[in-house]
Amino acid sequence: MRLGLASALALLLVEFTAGAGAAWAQEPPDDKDQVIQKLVERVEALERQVAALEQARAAQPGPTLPPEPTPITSADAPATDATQPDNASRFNFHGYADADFQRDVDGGTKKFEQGEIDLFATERLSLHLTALIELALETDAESLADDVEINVERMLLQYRRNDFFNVDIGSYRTALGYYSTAYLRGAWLQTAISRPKMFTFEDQGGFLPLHAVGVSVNGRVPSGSLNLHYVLEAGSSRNYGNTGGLGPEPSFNRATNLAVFSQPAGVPGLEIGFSTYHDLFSPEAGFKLNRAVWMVHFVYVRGRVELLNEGMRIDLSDGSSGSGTGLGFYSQFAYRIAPSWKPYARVEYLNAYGTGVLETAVDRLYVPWKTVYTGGVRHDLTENVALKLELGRETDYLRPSYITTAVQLAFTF
Amino acid sequence: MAALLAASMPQYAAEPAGTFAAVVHQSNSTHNLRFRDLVSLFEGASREWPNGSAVVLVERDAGSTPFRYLMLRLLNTTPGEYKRSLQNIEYRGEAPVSIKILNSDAAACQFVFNVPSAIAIVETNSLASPACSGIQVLRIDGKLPGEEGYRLK
Repeated sequence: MRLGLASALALLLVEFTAGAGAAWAQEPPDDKDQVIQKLVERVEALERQVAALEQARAAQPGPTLPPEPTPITSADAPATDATQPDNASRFNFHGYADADFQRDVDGGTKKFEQGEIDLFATERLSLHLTALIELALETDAESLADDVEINVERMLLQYRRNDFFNVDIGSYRTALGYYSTAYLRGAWLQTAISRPKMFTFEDQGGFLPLHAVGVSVNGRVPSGSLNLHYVLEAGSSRNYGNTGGLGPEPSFNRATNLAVFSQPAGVPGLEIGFSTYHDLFSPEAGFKLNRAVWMVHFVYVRGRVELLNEGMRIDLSDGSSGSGTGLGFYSQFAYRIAPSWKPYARVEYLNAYGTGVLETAVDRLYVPWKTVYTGGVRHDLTENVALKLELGRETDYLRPSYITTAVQLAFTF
Repeated sequence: MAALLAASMPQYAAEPAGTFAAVVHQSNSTHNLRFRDLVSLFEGASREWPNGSAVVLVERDAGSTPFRYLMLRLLNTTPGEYKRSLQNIEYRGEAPVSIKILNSDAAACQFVFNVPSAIAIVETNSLASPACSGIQVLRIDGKLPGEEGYRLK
């Protein structure tokens, strides 16, 4: 088929008006914006096709045009739109769940446990707007049917302008280091069964502020082969203290965070970065602590190798009455030795100390662990199901060292 | 559990033989890609062309020779880990990677012909077919299939 520019534009106009009429006849008024968006995308696609045909014709010495695209035959094509990606739907959903057997994970029990169910969905609202919601159903403390806690893990309206400027508004995971945002919930996503201990969730005894509500601005920084990225967050952190005033008042705990990391173009898979976080924190009534967290990470994930290293310093201060400090790190190494087998090992260390009302003994009451050694293997039974085995040894300041074992069946749906 | 243990992941032990080509739409202004940039595209680390349009990855069905090449040689991964890595991108709140899976090189070429921002990896033998005649074969590190030092093989 020879397609001149004029005839192509005429065809475009016919398609536009016919398509618009049909679409508006079928869609309720509320969906007009979406219909317009679809038509604009379609017009743009046709314009590109016309430009390509014109370009190809201009490049040819003779009248020959590129061969007409033959329709994809039914034997070749799925039943979906043949020019759309398979995941082109505006709505995307993923679910994650796990079932576990644990022995002595908390130092003294042995039990089967239903893990958490994580429901993750995004809906593209327009070219630049996306809604994201993630719900975690925490079943670990369930003894009665209505004991299941539902956490709104994330609830975001995302504005994606381009690679360099994006805004997330709502409930987000703070960009503290690497692990907090790389492996949020969803046991299937992470290689190991357990998370690094320093990234324990707040409601399970963790001391890092992993959640906040507010605004996050993020994107790339024009930096050539350094490929720098930034994340700037301002909001209110979750506060689990019984504060008698501080907890329910979000203006008190003004959380800010700045993270910068580099993914050098010359070493794909490498990420090096740091973050600095500040807020007000109340672990108990009467305490209004200035909290600062600094983190650095050095991560290489590519091919068979997964190497995660993060260091952390957390400072708490209560004016002149005392201060506490925690210094810690973890290193995790995993290597795929066969198509579906990936052994891993991790070492973690934390030292907490302080003065005044935050003296060392008080700090260690809240953060008693000192070292954790973990080893295990992940076996992917299918593309959606993984079986993991893990052994660990933990030492802390309040009780003798103990060995933990765990088995986990994690899957996505 | 026994059934799950008995189930085995598809094995991709056999090395894919032959030479492969990265093909894009005729209008794509990118004519040459570095090998590592091609890997970045299929890993989902890069998701835009220089003109800002979103990349659509065209992949062949599991078990096909181009797919085995993609997994074993280009990305050095497994289908399971690849899926995990792509889901992780989406789970981090970033734009999802757009993928179209087709079950023949001809269908892949036709898709690339129709979609200006698409890129596919096909066997070079397929380039002679009519379906692949209206698309652009990319140079990889400055070299076309058949030239000395060409890396997609």
